[in-house]
Amino acid sequence: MKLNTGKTGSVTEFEKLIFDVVHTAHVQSLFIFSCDSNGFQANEIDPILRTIPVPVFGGIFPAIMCGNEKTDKGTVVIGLEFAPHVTIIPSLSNPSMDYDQIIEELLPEQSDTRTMIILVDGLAKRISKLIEGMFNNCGLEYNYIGGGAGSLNFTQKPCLFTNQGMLADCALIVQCPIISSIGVQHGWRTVSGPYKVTDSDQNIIKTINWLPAFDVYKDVIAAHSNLEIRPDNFFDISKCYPFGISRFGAEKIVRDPIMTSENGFIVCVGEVPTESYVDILTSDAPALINAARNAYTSALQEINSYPFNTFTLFIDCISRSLFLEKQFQAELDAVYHESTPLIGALTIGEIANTGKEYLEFYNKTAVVGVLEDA
Amino acid sequence: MISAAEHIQILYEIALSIGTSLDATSMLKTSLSTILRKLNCSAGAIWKEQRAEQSDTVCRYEHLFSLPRNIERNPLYQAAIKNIPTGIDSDILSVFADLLPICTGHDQDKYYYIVDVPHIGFLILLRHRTELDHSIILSLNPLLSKLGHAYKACIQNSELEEAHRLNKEVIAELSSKTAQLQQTNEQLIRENHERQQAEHALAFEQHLLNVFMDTIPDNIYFKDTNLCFIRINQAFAKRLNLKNADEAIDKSDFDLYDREYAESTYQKQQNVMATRQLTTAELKKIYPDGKERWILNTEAPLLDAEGNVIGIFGVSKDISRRKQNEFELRKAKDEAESSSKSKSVFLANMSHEIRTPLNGVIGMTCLLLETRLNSEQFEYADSIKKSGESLLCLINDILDFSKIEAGQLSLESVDFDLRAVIENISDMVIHRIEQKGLEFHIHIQPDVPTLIIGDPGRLQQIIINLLGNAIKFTSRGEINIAVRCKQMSPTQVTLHCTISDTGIGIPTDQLNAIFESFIQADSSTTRKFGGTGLGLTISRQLVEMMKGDIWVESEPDKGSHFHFTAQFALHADAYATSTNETIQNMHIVIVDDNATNRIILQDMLLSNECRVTMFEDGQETLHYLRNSNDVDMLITDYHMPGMDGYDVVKGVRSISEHKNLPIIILTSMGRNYDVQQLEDLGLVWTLTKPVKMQQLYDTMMVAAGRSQQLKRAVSGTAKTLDECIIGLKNLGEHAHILLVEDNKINQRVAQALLTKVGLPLDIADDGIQAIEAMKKNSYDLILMDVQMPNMDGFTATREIRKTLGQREIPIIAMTAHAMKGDKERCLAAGMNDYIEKPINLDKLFKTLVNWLMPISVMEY
Repeated sequence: MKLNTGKTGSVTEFEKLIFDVVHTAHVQSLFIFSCDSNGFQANEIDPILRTIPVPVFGGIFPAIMCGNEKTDKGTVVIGLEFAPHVTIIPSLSNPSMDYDQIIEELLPEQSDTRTMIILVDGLAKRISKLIEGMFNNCGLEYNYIGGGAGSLNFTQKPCLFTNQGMLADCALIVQCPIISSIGVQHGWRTVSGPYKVTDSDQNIIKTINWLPAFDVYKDVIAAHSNLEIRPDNFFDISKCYPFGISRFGAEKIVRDPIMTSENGFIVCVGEVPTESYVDILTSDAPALINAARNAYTSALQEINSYPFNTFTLFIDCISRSLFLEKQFQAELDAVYHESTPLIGALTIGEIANTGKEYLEFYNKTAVVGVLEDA
Repeated sequence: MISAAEHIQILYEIALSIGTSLDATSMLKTSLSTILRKLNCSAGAIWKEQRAEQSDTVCRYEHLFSLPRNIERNPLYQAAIKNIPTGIDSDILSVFADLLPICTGHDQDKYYYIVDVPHIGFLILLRHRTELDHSIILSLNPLLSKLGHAYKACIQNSELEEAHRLNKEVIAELSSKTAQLQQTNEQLIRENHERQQAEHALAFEQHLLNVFMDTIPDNIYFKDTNLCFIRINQAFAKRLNLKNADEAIDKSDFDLYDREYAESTYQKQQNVMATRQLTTAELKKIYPDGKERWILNTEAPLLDAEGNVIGIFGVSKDISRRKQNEFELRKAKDEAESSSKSKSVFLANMSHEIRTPLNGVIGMTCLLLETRLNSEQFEYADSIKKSGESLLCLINDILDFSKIEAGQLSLESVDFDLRAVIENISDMVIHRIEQKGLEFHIHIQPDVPTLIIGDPGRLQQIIINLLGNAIKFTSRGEINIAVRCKQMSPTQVTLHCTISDTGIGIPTDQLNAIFESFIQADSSTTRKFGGTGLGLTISRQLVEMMKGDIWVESEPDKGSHFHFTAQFALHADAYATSTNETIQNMHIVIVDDNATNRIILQDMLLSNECRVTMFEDGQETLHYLRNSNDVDMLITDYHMPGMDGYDVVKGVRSISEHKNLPIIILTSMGRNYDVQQLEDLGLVWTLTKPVKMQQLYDTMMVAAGRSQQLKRAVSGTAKTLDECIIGLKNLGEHAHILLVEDNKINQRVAQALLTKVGLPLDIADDGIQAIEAMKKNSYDLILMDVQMPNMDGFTATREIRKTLGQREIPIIAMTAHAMKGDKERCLAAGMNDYIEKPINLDKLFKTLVNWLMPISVMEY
């Protein structure tokens, strides 16, 4: 693996990093993390991406990590010594798309696939359906790790790197021949619930218990914290009070409320089905950091038995970082070991599977992958 | 551990996911997907039980649906399905069913569950890490039962839908069949209606035929192929003395007519069937009642719908009355034709008989006028001469008209030089034109062929008629003849001739009538200008005989344009060039104030490949000549406004470079000019207008110095009478003439005229005497009468040419046969020219000059 980082966030630097890595011996593909604050425009970046002679995948995230350092600006380019197959699934918000069928048609049979890296536009509306389609077609035969790219201003724009250029509203399914081990944990706990989602549309909760979702949510938070949540301070408070969807014998699936609309709807990262029950969760820094550590430990347990070098891919939700603020470094430290290179991104939604659970699209979750450094 | 509330939530959400669709696969997918998610299972599969048809016992299990689809690659799944009996032993299968649910831990933290699903079979769930709570497995039972019911409902729904689909197909097919039946029914109704209409139409047609057959007084009949009657009409039955028409059916002509007639008609009708041709014939027929009638009989083959001959049908019309009328008409016509022929013969004879004494009257009057007379006597004698000439014209017109009316006039077809024929016309009329002080031009377009085949005499007659009118009705201005090609094919040419004048014109309302017999535009003009009014009628009829049209455009007080077209055959050398090489490429300057004349001269010169520069007046010409040194010749009109021809010549001579420039001056006959004055200017030749092309070329050649012994070339055919007399006198005894004429008066007239110019003359009374004389003496010219006793002029001429071998001696016909075509007959017999009797002094002398004094040797 060849790792190249730059912190200026300039297009020139971006181009140079790529150039250097591409021209490194044995590099057969590029995995790129860039920060949203770089302000990359498609017309600047597309010509660079289109000239890369090897498969390229990656995204623009609110923040990225390299080693035990988080940065809001700059780029990390990883040169991989294998050539994965990258499949682009388009129209990730289109309600009429049958991703189950699309994946069946587009995804090639790759017998050496061990790990799937899935990168999505985090602001697309039907990410869960995509994940369901992946499960239906591929099951848990492979490990999955990935997350949502995009901007924290929640405006959808091109945020995924491909050989075609920067794309929006799509997903990249990267079939890798490397061994991996995945750990997933979020550390959120119920403070109130369950509440029945009586009306929703994809990732928008319209009513809870037949009342405007925002009104119910506001009352619960007020009762719990004496804080008054309003549209103008919504995410500042909501980052501490996500929704949780129950399942048997596992952590709840977290849904991150990111904004409210004028008619009292709540927009989440990831779908919340109608007629599902949700709890309102909260946490604290130690719990979250502990969850991250557990995820890392869990991943290590699996892979320690293998006799090769590894690197850590840390996909952590941006809202955890916002929640933890300065204590985020402790979470990063919890998953970092100096002997193992770490790269990662703070994402808008996380995708992970250890091969032992139903494949899900998570929010506010720490996903730690320990991957073979081929 | 999960709370009871969470327990309920999970089951609630699973319950809600069941039965959300009536499509079995979709329903199973939604339900199983929710079960897996809510129970956090890693895979699941539903197996279906197959029941024996007879006993309704489970006979085997088979895979129905799974998530993920590749579950078979999962080792845990493979371990789970090992529990499923593969045989068909119903007892074993029954035992297996009783064992459910099966909850088994496998290989540390891996678990599989096999749970009964009523109405389907069972569900296999795979799970990792932790075992499912047993209570939740049991709680699943009612939900899975619901799933089974839902699945059954889906299947039933599917079957119902299939039944519905089949039902719809049956209904659709029924509808289609019904529609087809309805269509067929409508078609039948329509066809029935059409058949009824056709029957009505047929009945109506039958009615029409019956009415027609019963009403028409003619015989109408139909026969079969044996020529027996199929049907006849009432009128025919009546003529056959039958009681009704049906009596004729199956009878043939042999049953009704005499055998001879029946056999005759049998053959004809067989022929109609064989040839399939309609025949019409007029027959004389004797009916059974003995009456003989003429009939117009039309018979045609009778064909069936496929075109096969199935007999004949015919119509016979009684035309006895018409035949009688025709007979009477033919008789009257024969009588009329006989009468007309007699009239024509009478007229022809009359013409000859009248002309002979008239010849004496005019000839003697001419001689009388040459004697010493006082003014009163001269006036009387001149009146006699003019009256005689008018009478002659009148007789000519009446004769032509009579011949045309009698259909006895036919056109000649001889080779002739069109240009010569038309240009020669000027000789005949130029005196009258000059006397009236009119300009006269002949313009023959360069593309008009030279040699054509037709009747030159009649062409000349038409033009002279029209020209005569033009002269008659024009007191000032000009008269023009224009000839151009209207249409040309490899073998034929249609000429368009226009005779234009600037005379009194013709009122518009009378334009159409003037070509009718005996009509002049205004009856008052007849009195003023004279004439029979036959000229244009004769011209029209001649033009029509030449396959042409004649018409007039005219405007009162401005003049008339008489047009006619005529068709001629083209001679093989129609465009034989008469180019004179000696004057080719010469640069000629023309000065003439008259634009028409300029164009005529230009066309003539360009035809000879000369270069031409033209000017309207002398000043421009002189200016040009002062600056040019490549001019070979000047042709100038004499009479021009401002600077006349003399001044132009004088001016040219003042230019040092053109002191010896050959100059041809164009003069008009009636105009005076000082010959000596012109001669003094040196190298000046004159030509009389209208200019003839060949004369122009000859004069140019002489003027250009190609014939040095001549000082001046003068028109041979446009000489004045005085000039002719002088010329003939100069010949004197050098020209010996033989006159062949049986009429003593004519002998005396001719003798008197020739003696007047001092030409020695021998006289022969007929052809035989003439040949004898020829054998004894040498003559320079023979004047030959045509109609003579013993040997006529034609025979005599042929003898002179053939027997005596005298091919060169000019023989001039003198004949009172003024019928058109006479000239051509004379020429065909070997004569050279033609003078009409009574002899015109002017014409005689000019003809003699032409043949005795060729232009090249005339010298003054």
